[in-house]
Amino acid sequence: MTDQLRSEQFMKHALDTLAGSVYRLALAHLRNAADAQDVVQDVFLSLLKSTVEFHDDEHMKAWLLHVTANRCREYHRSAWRRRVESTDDVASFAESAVCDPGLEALFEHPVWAALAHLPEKLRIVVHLHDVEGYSTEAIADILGILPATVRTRLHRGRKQLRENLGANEQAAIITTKQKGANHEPQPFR
Amino acid sequence: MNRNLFDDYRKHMNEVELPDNARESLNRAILEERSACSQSSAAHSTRKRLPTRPAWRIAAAACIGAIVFGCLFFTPAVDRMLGSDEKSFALTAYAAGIATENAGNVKLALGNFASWGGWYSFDELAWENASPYENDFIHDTDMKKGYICSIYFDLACEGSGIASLTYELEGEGVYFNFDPARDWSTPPEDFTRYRFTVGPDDLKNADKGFIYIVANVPVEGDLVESAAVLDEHLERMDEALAENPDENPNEGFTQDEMDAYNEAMNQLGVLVQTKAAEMVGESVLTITATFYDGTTESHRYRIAPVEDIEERYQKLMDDSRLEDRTSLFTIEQLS
Repeated sequence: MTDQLRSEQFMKHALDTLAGSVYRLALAHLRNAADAQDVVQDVFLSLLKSTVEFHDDEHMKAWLLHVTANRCREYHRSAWRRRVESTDDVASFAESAVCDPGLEALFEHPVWAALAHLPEKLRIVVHLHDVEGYSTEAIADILGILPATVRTRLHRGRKQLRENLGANEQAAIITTKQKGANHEPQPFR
Repeated sequence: MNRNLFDDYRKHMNEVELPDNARESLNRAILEERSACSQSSAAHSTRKRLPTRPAWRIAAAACIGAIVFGCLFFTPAVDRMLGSDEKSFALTAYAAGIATENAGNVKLALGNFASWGGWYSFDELAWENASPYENDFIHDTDMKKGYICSIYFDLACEGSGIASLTYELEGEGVYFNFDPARDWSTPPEDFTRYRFTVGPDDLKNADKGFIYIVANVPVEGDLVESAAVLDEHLERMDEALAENPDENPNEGFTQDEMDAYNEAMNQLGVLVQTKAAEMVGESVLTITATFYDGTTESHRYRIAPVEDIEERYQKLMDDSRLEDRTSLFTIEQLS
């Protein structure tokens, strides 16, 4: 374990330039603002203690996103335990979403709803490639998987997303006619 | 896919930033970490707080210093194991253990070198695309439905003249898992589920990540009844959440149903972790030290639960503040 922590200047720069990317990845992964903020904190505390030497900001960003992806997967596992051990918390998860107009717009977006039905491993690849703009090779490095696996997951993710969007648009049309502006996602099969 | 729709989503997503209150909270956490670090001495560093790591890891890290450097000098086994040779090695957990029987017996208590890393469910049918084992945390042992249970053991070794250490695990349903923790650029060399190689001090360094021993515990025997109660409960919860995501999904259950569920959960927790410990106990861990002169030395170990682990583990579950875990496992050097 290290005794030396990163400097204040280093951490401020990292937070100013990369906190958004880390938060968005955690959000795409966990789909809950409060959980995503927990992960962001954990990731940047890891950075604070880390001794990795970064070549540049892109290198640091890739490292941060890798750690974020790992933390999110761990979070899912611990979340499952929380769920089975203290199911009363489930309702409070929904209530814990931070009131943020930007987030509200995002959460109401049909693509956000359609992404909910993608397995997380596909969703994360779609996010990194189609939102963050990473190449398949860079994503392979970030996630620690083969580029060919990234391409497969991207293909499958986009295909499922297209199908989900089609299903949701149909559902949205029906529910809008019946109940007004209700864009709740429908189960995808 | 509608391109404009996705472009619109990307625009929304890219406008999302970490909220100010979360940034402030993070800044406070960083300040606390700096404060804790500045107050710590060199000896203190082994118990530096890891704010969001599982408690078992914190406990393990905290104990390593005390036990390695304490027991190392007081346990007769250490001298015997390490001696004063220029080339020697032993699993620290074994060398620093406490003899469970008469002197001379090589079966030692594992003490605080073991801790539970959690467990979670697995059901092959739940994976729609029939490729469940692409998940980095799951390794295919032909288990269709069951529970994946991680146990952390301190597998570090002590010795001299060691250039590298190779760990191999043989046993049904058990395998290694690597958590890179912080520095993902330094995974163990040639890591596979059953074999990996590290530098002599790598497993003492939390920055290098953690190695778990994982057991895939199938739903069979004693587990069937509790697992069925759990499955039914979770299925009803899912249905309730699908119907009304904003409602507490437990509201539809009677108190008797909740009591039955909680009891099944407790039983399952004990059964899964006991069974996982037994599976680990049936496996053999081989550690090969390669010395700087190119020669090698291997030792085979069995890490097994104590006979009454189920009762002892239940006691631990009943009072999680209990810190005495010294009697949950024993370690034996087979050769």
